[in-house]
Amino acid sequence: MVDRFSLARGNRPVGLLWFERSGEATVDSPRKFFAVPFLIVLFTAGFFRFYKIFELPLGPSADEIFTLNNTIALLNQPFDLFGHTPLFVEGWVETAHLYLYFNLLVVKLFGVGYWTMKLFSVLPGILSCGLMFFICRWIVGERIAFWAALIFATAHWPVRVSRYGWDVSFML
Amino acid sequence: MTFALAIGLLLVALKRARSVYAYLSGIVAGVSLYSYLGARVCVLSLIVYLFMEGSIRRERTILRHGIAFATGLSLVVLPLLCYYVAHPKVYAVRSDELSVFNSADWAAIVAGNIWRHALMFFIRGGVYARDNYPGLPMLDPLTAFVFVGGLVAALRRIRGTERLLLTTLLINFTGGLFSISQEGAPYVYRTAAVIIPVFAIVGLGLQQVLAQTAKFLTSGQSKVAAWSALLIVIALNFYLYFGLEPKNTAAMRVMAYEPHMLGLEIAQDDLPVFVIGRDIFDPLEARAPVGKEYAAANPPLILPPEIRKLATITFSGRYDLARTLTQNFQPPRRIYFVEPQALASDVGPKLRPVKMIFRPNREIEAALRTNDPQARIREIQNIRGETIFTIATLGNPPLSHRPQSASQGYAARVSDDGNDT
Repeated sequence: MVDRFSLARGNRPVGLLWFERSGEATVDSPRKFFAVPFLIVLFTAGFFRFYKIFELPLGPSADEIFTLNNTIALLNQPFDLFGHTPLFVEGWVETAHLYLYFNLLVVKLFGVGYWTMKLFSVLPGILSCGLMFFICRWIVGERIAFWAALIFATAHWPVRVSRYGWDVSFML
Repeated sequence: MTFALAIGLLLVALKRARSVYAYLSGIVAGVSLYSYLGARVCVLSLIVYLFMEGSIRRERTILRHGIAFATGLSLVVLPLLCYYVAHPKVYAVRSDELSVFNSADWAAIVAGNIWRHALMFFIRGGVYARDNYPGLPMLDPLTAFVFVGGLVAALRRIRGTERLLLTTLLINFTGGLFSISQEGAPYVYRTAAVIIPVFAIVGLGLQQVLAQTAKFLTSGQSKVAAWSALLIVIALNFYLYFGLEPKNTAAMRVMAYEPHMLGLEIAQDDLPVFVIGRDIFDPLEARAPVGKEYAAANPPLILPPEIRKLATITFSGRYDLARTLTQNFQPPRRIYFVEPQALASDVGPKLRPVKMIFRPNREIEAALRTNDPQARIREIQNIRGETIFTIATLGNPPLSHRPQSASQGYAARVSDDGNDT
């Protein structure tokens, strides 16, 4: 653990280190799941993504509207996960049926509305913050992972993407 | 969500030497291909990493991980792949539109793109108002500093994990580097996938910063300093979004600002609503203001009126799931789209209480005031303080004003459920 803090690498050029045949870092595997920091991260992420969601961003993007419309169109068709072509719309907004079925679940639960359309992005955005905590736990350990995930949950860039991002938020 | 999960599962596979996690990672990576187009680059970055890791370490475990990942990915991606084989033109519709190679001087454009993307974290971020407050760096100064620390640490001590983060970071820039569109680089949306490795590298940077501060601070002091810095970062980012975004005037042009305001106004209550005039769906700002910074990068997005209308209906909260899209569209529940002439003969409406929404119009407003002095009239303003809609709420009419027959005006002919009677 201690050797990871060292910046000294002798006289070897940094670029060549890329090809060094070294194994994994020596951070211990996190043994137990700490629910409290994880829930704090999710709660903070939720606050930064739901706060003033009706006002900011200043409106939906065109793609969000089309995604909602495509989801609504799917609503009137019989549920058949394997009975469709993969893409609902080809070309500009290449929305896939699988993604629309995720949205459909949200619409079934919350109805059709501005709030629901935002949930398509906000829900994956919040989960991404939990996953960032999960990723960093394996890289830098529990305590620093908590701080890194809090920074991720509140940083304006991921927050923006989660509040308007439609399928990009799902992808992240 | 899917890219983060795929990276997370791959990390677990590497740390625990269990290929089942690599298999699951492949499945999740495959699922991501059914979302944003840029997911292709995300998946590519993971494949390149596994290939590179296998070549460098030459261990059977990595080979097993690679096979497991490819198996999971193939299973999920097969339907999409078959579809693209059957419809090859569909595969590259959007990427062909944006490709930098459509331009004769593509090399110069790529060089410019590299420079601008390198600056996007620290100096000048995305300028398209949908993606960012135009020009704002994508990281706050403190996070950017920690990110640089993490980047240096990762480069100086490369192991499997660091290689994973650096590979995914570099490759996911390609979506921005090799594309071109009117707003100009950096294309923060097309490079959004770098967010995951960037903030994981911030984690590495935090570790370095804490290690350095531990040399001259006690454990307690170090904790206080770390928490203080964290709170500053949180407060700063709160301001960078919630403080700046309400001033992002260009966002009004590039997003469906007015249908959103209209829909939410209707959603305020359950009153019947008269939306008056065809101009209600014409955007007020049809051109970017001359001389404004980043105006050229943010031309107005003019959606067809029927899309604006449909957006208004869906945002109003009055979409009925039991009815079809067409049924909801015409007529929507308790929303009546009428021309001013339909109200001109007798503005004292018959369907009460009722809400009327129209573009600022002195004649309609005066007629409403004359016919119903009790009408509550207010304005909806945009973030520049310009009136975009006028709202008139008419309460229950006095007995003398109640309609005697169903022929006294348009409103009287409309029943409460929106059907003509």
